[in-house]
Amino acid sequence: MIVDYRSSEIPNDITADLIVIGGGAAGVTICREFIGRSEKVCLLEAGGFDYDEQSQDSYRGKNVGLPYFDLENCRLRYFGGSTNHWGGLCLRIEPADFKERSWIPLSGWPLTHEELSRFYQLAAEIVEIGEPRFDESLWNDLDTQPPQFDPHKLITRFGRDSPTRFGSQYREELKKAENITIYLNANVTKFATSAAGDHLDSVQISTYQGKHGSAKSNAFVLATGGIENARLLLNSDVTPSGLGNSSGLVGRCFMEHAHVSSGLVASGVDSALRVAFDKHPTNPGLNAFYAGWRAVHDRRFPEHPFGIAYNVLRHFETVATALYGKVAYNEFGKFLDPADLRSFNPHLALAPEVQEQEQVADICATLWGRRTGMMDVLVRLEPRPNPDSRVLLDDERDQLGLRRAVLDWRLMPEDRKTVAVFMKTLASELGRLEAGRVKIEEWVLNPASPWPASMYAGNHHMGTTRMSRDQDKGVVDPDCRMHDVDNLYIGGSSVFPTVGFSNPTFTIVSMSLRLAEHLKSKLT
Amino acid sequence: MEAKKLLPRRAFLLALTAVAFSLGLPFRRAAAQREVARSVRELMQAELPAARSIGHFYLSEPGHRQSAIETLKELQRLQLWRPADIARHIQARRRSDFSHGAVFVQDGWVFADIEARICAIIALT
Repeated sequence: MIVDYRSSEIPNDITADLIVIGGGAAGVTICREFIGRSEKVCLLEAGGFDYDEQSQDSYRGKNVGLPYFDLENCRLRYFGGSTNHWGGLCLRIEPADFKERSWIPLSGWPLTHEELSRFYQLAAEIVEIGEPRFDESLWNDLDTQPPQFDPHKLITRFGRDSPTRFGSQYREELKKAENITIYLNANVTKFATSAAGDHLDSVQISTYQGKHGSAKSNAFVLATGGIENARLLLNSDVTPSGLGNSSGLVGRCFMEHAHVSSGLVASGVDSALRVAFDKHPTNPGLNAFYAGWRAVHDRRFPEHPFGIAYNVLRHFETVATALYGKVAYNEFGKFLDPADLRSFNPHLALAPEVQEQEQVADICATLWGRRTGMMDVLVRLEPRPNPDSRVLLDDERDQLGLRRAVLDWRLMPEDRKTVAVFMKTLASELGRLEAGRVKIEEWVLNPASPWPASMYAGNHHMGTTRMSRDQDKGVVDPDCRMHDVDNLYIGGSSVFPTVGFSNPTFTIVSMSLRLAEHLKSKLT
Repeated sequence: MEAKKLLPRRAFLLALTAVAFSLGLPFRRAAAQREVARSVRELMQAELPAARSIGHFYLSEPGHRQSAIETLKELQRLQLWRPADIARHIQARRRSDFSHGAVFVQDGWVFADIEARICAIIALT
């Protein structure tokens, strides 16, 4: 059943066996897992079925760190959440990413890749990507000979394109479910806990029209996104530092995938490299355009202080163009029908630099007897967990009386080393294979240089309620339950302790399936 | 950045071509030198200065002059007189250098160490 909480016919107070806050990828996935079961589940969605200026305004905030998108544009506050404008790229977090790396503070997941792998398998159906395969074997599907990189240095991974808009795709299914009720326009504004603050009794629900009520349950899941999860917890007046924040880590370790132009590759137009990374329109489900490489993080190799870098090669496209395209995408993404967004290309136009690259290509064609083109190396950077990169609260309040978010996105000096090591590894491998030559951007090699102005992010908000077995190093435990609150669970990428290079949604869905399984066992 | 440090893409690519086609030029037998020089001039026209420029960058770092001289001696010891032999030697060394991360980075362009040394030899002669 789906109802509008604003309606006078809907009671102010709700009781359920499980209350899920947030109707995005995580919340919808968890609710679907309870369809047909005996438990009564309520999903509280702050928005409606469509974009709404008033609702979206609660996402407005400030950026005080590295340049970032407007906070009201980089996520969506209506049913389906940010899947209403996501790019749809699915990748799995690599097995190695789950392991603790002694040279990266706060690294390591309190679960293994093996524990999550069966949920990845199930999640593939939900995001409609077919077989969850992302590795080198996909070259065969593309009938393309890949570069023969040393597998100890570089590995190739493919992104797979998902068409799924959770709000529209799963709406009818949830509407028909007798034990599920979705409350639209139901904003959670307050947490009511036991006197000790270690048990959540209910949450307060408010509308912009002045209706107030409560939702009471024995189990709650907060799944409102990587920025909003932190904002809601920090806004709580249960303790001066917010709810569930004895570690002081709520809002900290905010991570994003910085997308940054880090160099150029000169390569023959007819080379395997170019062919391999060209568009494959006959394989639309395989996003070879976004296929990329990762430097293997192995301490046997020198200068590995780092996580992982991931790169994308694009033909004749500049990162500046991509940045403007991304901003435009975020801007238009609020207003366009989610279905129409599929045809919206965020990488809109060619830039003047293309002409220069073409000229270089002509010179190489003369000298080498073959055409050569320049390709941009766009690194997608895995950041280190950095407690100073964080979501804070502003003094300004939204219409519901909640303090607005302030984002202080930061990267660390070691993150630049990640890029440098990756670029040198890429250069050496391409040089060894005679597949291309690399020019590394000056800022990569010069630690004193600022991060480039053309750097942009992926709308991936991660790490702000990080997972750890250790209460001092995390906000939630391995079951995604808050260390400090025994019946409040967190869904979404805010629990990721490290993030790899992969787009988060596929892992969000997988982790949500895992959380749903845990909740089922607890509630029965 | 100082003007002399700038290494345009065009210069880099041309220098690589110079390395590929004309390396070892100064220390070949005279007849071979003339023949190869003519071929290289036809191919490269005025692009040898690009290789020299890279060579000067390489030589400006401590210990690199000695490295370049050792490479020159090695080529002589191996009696690599013909351009094709030199090219094969360089190719093998290049792969080895890249495999082992023996690279020289100048203005962002990543050279195999052998390439930089050959450019240095050209600069020295």
